[in-house]
Amino acid sequence: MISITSDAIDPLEVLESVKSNQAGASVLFVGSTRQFTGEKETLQLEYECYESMAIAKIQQLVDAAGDKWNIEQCSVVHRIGVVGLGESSIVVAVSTGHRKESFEAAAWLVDELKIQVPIWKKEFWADGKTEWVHPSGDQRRIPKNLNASRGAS
Amino acid sequence: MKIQIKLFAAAREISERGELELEVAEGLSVKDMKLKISAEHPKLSELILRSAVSLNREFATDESVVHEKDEIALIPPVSGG
Repeated sequence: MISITSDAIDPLEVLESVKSNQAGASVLFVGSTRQFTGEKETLQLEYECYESMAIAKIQQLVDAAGDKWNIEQCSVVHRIGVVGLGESSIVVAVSTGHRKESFEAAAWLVDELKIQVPIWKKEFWADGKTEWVHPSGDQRRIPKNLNASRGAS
Repeated sequence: MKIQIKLFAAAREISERGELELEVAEGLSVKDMKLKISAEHPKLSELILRSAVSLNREFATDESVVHEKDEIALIPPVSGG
């Protein structure tokens, strides 16, 4: 299941979607809105996406993960719009035959999603300021064409 | 030819619109398109330096050539997750 939704995400539903009798392990990752970043306080986040490209990019990542690991089932759900404190913005679930693969694949998918997929978050700080998060420098690599690079590593 | 460029996040807010329209010459490269946007919309120039461009929902290189029917978007550094 790959989905972008403005509704609240139920992580257990996403976990359920990767159930397989062939799987000996399932990993569920839930990313949520954190109240404090250092001393700065967040009231809420708001996410925006370029939906058609975001879906295509997530599908490419899931396919690439399938080339790297022996994945039984994989689901990625991202929320857009306002996401309040403690609410889930992203849920990734991976099931594999053995645990090492599902841990690695889930971590890789989340890391790559943060680099490759056109989704943006806006911080609503407690001091009343707002700020689109557009990381620069070492926090980010230049996105590459995954299709062109597949099989290269 | 006329091209439309989708804008998102800070780029959309800075320019107060979701899409830019540019009149450009055939054979324009992505690099030259970014320079042209910066020249016509100076408020976007800092962000454009740090942004990627997508053509038909795939990341383009500076050398990629823009065509009239392409779906073009300016992709500021992403921050999903």
